[in-house]
Amino acid sequence: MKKILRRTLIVLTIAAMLITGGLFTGYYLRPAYSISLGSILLAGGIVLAVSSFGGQINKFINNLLGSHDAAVAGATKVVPIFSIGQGAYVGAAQVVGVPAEVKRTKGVAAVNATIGNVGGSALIPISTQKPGGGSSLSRVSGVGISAVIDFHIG
Amino acid sequence: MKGLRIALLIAALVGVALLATSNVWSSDETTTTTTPPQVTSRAATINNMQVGEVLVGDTVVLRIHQAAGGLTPVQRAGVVANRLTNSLAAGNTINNVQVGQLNGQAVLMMGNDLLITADSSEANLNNSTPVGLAVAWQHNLQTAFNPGAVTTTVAGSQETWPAWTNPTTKIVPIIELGTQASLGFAQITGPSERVNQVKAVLQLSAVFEKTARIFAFVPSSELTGLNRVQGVAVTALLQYTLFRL
Repeated sequence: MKKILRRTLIVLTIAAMLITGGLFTGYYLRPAYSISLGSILLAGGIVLAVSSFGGQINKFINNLLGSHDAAVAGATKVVPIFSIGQGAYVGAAQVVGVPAEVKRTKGVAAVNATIGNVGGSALIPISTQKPGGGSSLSRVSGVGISAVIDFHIG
Repeated sequence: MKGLRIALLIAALVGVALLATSNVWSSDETTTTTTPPQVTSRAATINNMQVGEVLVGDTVVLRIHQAAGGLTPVQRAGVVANRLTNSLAAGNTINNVQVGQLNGQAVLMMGNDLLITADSSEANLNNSTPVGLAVAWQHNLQTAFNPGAVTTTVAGSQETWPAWTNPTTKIVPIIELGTQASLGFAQITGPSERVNQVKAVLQLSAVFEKTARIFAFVPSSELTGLNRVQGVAVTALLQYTLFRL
C-alpha cells in the first residue's frame, strides 16, 4: 500500500513538473487548435465539426470577404448541409439574411433535381438541423447562401 | 525504485513528445532555398530597413519586413520563393493560390502547400489585417503570373440587409474570381430591384485548416468585377459540382 502511494506521488509530481514546464515554454495554451478540425470531423462528423468550428469559419469567411471589399451587410452563420437525396450531411453553408431569421436557421437542406440535361441543387435554409419527416422542410424565409464549405480529411 | 524508473521513463517519453510537437509548430519557414528560373528573391532597403522581396519576373509580389522562425526577412523571402517554385514544379498552377487559415493564422497556400503566413505584425506594417494582407499577396501573385485575368476589386455599397418581403429570383453565371472560369449557374433571390442589378455570382475560394474548402458566392453587378449587390443571396446551384451530391 505504501509502495503504491509512493509511486502515485512520484508520477503526480513529475506530471505537475511537466505541465508547469509546458506552461512556461508555451507548449500548452493552444486550446483552440490542440484538437484539430480534422480530428473532430473524423470523430464526430460534420455536425460536430460545424458546432465546434462554425464560429471560426464564419469569421474567417467574413474577414475574407471584407478583404475583397465584398463584406455582407446581413447577419451570417455557418450551419450543416443535409442532402435529402443522400440522407446524410454533406458539408456546411454560410447563410446570410436579417439577424432574426439567421438566428432561426439551424441547417440547410440540399434538394437535387434534374430537368433535361440540367442538374442542380436547391439549397433551402431550415429551422432544424435535419429536415423533418413528410414534405415539410421548416423553411426559413429571407435567408440565402453566402458560401459553401466542403470538408475533407487527409 | 522500480516505480521511480517507470515514472522517469513516462516523463522522458512525454518530454520527447512535447519537443517533437514544438518542432512541428515552429517549422513554418525552414525549408532550403534554390534559385528558380522565374521566381526569385532579393534584399532591399526601405526606410533604412532591410526587407526581403519575392519577385515574379521583374515584379515584386511580396515584401517581408519581419523576421520569424529564426529567419531574417531576406531569408524568409528566399524560403517563400523556393516554396512557390517547388509547388509550381509539383504541378500546381497560379490558380491554386488561395488565402487560408492554418493553426489560427492567415496564410497563403498553393494547393496544400504553405507559401507564407500573414502575421499580424506584418499586416500592421501594411495597414491591413492578416487576411487582408494574404488577399493582397494573392492578388499580386495572380496579377504577376496572369495580368489579363485578374479583376479589379470595387468597393461594395455600405447598406443594411433588406428583408425579403416580395422576393424574386434570377439565374446568373458563376464566375471564378481571378481566373474568370465559368463554373455553372446560380439561382439568386432577393428584392426585385436588387436582383435586377446582379449580372453574375463571383466565387472566391479559400482553405481553412487544410480540412475545409470554402467557396464564397458574391452576387455582383459586374460580369468580371467584384461589386457586391447587398440583399441578394444564392438559393440554388445549377450545373455546379457541390460535394458530389
